[in-house]
Amino acid sequence: MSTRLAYGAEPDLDQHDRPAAISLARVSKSYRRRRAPAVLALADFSLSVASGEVVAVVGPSGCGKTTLLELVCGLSAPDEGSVLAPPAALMPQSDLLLPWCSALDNAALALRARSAGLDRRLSRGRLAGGRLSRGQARARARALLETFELGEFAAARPHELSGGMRQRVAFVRTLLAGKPVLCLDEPFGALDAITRQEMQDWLTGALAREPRTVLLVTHDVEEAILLADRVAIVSRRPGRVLAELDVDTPRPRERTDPYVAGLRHRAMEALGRQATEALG
Amino acid sequence: MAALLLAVVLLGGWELYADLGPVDAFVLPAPHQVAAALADDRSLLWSNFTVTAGEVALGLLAAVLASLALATAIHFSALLRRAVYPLLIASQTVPVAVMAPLLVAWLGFGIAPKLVIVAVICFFPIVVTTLDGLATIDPQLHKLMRTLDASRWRTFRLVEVPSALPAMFSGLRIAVVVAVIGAVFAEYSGSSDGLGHLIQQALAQLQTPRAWAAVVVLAAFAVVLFALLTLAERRLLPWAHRTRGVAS
Repeated sequence: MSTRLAYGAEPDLDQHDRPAAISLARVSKSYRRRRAPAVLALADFSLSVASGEVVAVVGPSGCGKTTLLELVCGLSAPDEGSVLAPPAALMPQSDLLLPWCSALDNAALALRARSAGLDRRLSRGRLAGGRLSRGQARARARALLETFELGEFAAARPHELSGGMRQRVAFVRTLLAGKPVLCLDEPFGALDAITRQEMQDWLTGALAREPRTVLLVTHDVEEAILLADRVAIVSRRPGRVLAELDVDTPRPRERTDPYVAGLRHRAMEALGRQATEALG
Repeated sequence: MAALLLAVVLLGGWELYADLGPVDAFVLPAPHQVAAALADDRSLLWSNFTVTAGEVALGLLAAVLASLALATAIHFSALLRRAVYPLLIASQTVPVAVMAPLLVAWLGFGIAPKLVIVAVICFFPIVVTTLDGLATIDPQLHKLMRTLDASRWRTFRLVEVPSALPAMFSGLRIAVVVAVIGAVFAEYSGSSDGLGHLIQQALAQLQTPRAWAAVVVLAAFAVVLFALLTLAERRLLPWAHRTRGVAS
């Protein structure tokens, strides 16, 4: 974990105006497996994300995308290379909402999880402020749920919510973590095609309202182009960046826009080349 | 409904077998004799029942407190898990008949040795199921909690404990039933009241219907405890029942 560099001496979590760039330089990361050879998930992987930028990482299944997010979130350390990232909040693929908590309490978990000042490991630096009481946490969570028009679902348990609603609550929880960077791990991967389109539009609006530096991992090229400022195409395992495409068109973007379609074609080509290389 | 029908069929068979079969009424009384004993000895059964019920309740309470404390300690310490778990399993093989005289020697003939026996018997299922519940949590959830800056303790409190509760309740439901058996055995090995004591006395005096009446009271007690726990679980952990679907 020591190779991961904290960004700045004492970042103020609620200030997003300072430059908060993610930079991965020549990172490799492999996984040991029980009674099997180690898997090289990322090799010589370099990517940087400017403050406030939304970058989508697109690649085939098993291209080390989840590994990438774990590195950025500080859940694991690279074998080689360096990872420079400010504190990041993770939105996992499955919503991971707690079934015994209401939508409100699930969102407030991000505020309540933070350990009190007693915890020495965390009390140095960024978390010295201690955590909020349950009431304060709920009040802040409720306010944000209302901002996103989810107020009426605050009391609902996760099983009473649709897949799309659950992802919205999970997104609010991720925002409430108060980190300058959001790591979204195939956030809509488990949703049906129609709900997914709805959620892509919703996320575009949500990020316009609450701008953050975002690293979005997806295997849906169209989703990447609709949401991101820049799309990084990643190769099959071991993952490395094959191409980067700037998406230079204003939001909200239309799926049918010729510019979007053209970019989609270029992205598919980049992915396709890699597939033919693998075959040949 | 199905349970009632089955009970009627079983009782009918028992009645026929006891009335017409080769077994003496001193060995196996017919249900109507047991019912008569239930009615005739009701004050005797009640006063002994309150003793046994007290032992079961306090013994269970002690078992729950001790097992939750131990499960927490083992969950946090791999060393403790390796050191204590084998002993815990070994402790379950010590028969009550062996343990009881020692406990009576240490603690006398009062309620204390019974509580210890009930607690020792109930302890195991609660510890094992609670530990399983604590251990079978989605690893992704642990990662999420780490990105939310949660400490080990905070994760335990907010995520692990609530998700282990259904498993703990399963252990508790096993525990209430064995607690009743435990209390009877504890009374067998030295006491002056309680349903176990009553059964022992009745059998010695060839008042078999009274012994069976006491067994009926014990069985009803176990069923009621089990049902109360199931009810409590549904009230306290509604989310656990949505997916598990308890047939009733």
